[in-house]
Amino acid sequence: MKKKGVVELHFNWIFVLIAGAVIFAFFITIVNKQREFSEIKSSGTIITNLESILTGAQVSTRTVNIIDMPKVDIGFECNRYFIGSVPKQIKSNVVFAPGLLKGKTMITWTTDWNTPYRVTNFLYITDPQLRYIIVFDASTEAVAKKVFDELPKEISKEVVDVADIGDLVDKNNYKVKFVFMVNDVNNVPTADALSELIDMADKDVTAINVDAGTSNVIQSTGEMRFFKKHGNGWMAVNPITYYLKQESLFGAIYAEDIEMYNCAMKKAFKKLGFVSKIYFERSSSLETYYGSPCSTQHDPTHLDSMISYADDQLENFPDTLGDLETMNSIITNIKDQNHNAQLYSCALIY
Amino acid sequence: MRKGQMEVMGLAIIVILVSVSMLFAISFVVLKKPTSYKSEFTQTELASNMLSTLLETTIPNCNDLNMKDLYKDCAIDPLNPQVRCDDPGCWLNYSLGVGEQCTSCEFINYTTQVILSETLGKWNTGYGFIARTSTDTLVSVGRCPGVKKHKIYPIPIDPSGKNILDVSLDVCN
Amino acid sequence: MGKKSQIQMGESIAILFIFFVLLIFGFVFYMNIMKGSAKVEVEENIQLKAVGIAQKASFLPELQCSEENVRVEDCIDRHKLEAVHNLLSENNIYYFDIFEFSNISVRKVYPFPEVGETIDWELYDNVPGEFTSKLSTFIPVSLFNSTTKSYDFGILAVEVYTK
Repeated sequence: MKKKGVVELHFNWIFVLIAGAVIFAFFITIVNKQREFSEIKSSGTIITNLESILTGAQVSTRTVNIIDMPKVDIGFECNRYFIGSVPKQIKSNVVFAPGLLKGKTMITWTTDWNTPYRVTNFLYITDPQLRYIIVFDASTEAVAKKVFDELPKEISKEVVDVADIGDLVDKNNYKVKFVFMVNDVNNVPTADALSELIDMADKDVTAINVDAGTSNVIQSTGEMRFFKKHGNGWMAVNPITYYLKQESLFGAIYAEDIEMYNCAMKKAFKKLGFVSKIYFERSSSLETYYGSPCSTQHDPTHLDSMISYADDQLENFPDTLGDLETMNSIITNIKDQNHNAQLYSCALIY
Repeated sequence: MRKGQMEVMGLAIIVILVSVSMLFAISFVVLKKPTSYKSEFTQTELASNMLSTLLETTIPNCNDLNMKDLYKDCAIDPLNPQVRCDDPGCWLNYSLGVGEQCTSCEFINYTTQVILSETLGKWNTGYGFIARTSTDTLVSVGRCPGVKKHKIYPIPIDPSGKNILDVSLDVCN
Repeated sequence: MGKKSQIQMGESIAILFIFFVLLIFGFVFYMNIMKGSAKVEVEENIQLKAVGIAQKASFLPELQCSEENVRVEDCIDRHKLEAVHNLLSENNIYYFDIFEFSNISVRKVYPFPEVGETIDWELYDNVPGEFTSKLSTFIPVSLFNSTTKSYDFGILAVEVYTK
């Protein structure tokens, strides 16, 4: 009797153990599946939001949006972005963004890139947790303050004199970008900038040194060089690169590195080629339609040159500053032509 | 009540509660209609674009004036509009005699109907168009009862800006 | 084992069986609900895509009118229209990123066309052989002729297909 009871008791325990394990496994499977599902779902929600932002960026300009997001890492490359592990193509959109956004808030800013006609919109993405420090010297104070004013007020930005750069304090940002506007762009910026940020990972502190001129107007083209933190100093990144119009300078401020900047600019040059072709065709047909003086204002030679230069930049950007300066003078010529067309009451070029 | 009956009652209540919550879940989640972004966008865009585009249209047969100018001319004095339009379609529509021309009021009535029937009418989209001042109704085409997107375009008809011509378009399913 | 124990075991297994049946029933029900809500989301995304493509088409710099680079809303430049078809078909891959599977065309509605006048412009045509849904959006636009400085009444038709 006693022996029989012991067997029964043991068997009961084994039975409870097996049944419990099966129930336990069942729930663990459900929880895991549900977790995977909700991760994909929240990634999908963010992707839908970002897609709407990308679409909006193409149809509206000069707008700043602050978007609340679920706390998830969003990685950006030139041609795609990642939400967790889910990738999505950026396609032909020209986007300048840091490599990684960690915050719960995203700040987007759109501007239109005009050469001199509207070509495309640039979309800049950042996070209020990212810190932008514009550094000027005695000769560049005015232009540095102009850049500071042009950037949206919603981002964490500050402008400091290079003489006071040692006074900077670490504000616990996960990324810091310096925008030096000092001396020659080839000069390595002062390491004093890093004195309080020495503990930050090298990849989280980057810089550009920009030649934006010395007046209170941001010049149309210029050189710039990217730098990376390397221990307690700066390391220059090759090659030197350039900007065309202030919108592309802002792009360099927002871009993670030179590769992302150059890649986004190549997309912009591709679109410039396409849009210029339309204006070329349009002016050619108007040149044929009109007699003098309007036909002269619609001479498409400058537009043709713009197409050639845009195609060249698509292949070779960043090649020489001279190319961009030539493009800038073509822009001025087209502007003058358009102004003359208006004076003669002809159809405008753009 | 016996203990057994009490238990059955309790069970019944639980079953009812579970069934009600299930019904709620079904009605909220399963039967949820997708948010109709497209029809929202289409109707809003249609109403505003249709009005602005219509009023901007240049009429070669009315001295190259645009529809807005013609509406204004009609609104200033509907009984004696100044502008005449040499438009064959309008002429036929009003069965005018040889040498006669449509007035701006006749022309806007005819053209607005033509454009709306060629667009919204062909797409089977309901619409109601009305152009009126405080005293007169110049054009009234279609009707749009129920849920609709409403767009209004006010046109001042005198320099003081006191007299306004309200051109409105309702778009509905 | 005694008969009593066997009966007890049988009871326990039956209870477990019923428990699992109820659990599976609940799970299937839950999955069906989730499937339903996923379908709703897919439908919403298709609509959002169609709206997005229609917006992109109406704001395309290759088409829009401008006065000294100031955009004119809801307006397409007639002279650009003549050139844009070739550009879009020559660079089909680039524009596929923007317009995906869709058909975009412009039609002049008023004033009535003169004999031989072009009134239809096919801008982009990439219709898949098989598709599950088609959403059409019509946007009234002014067709601006910069030489006569006149505006015609036109329609930008955007048909978006989903495979």
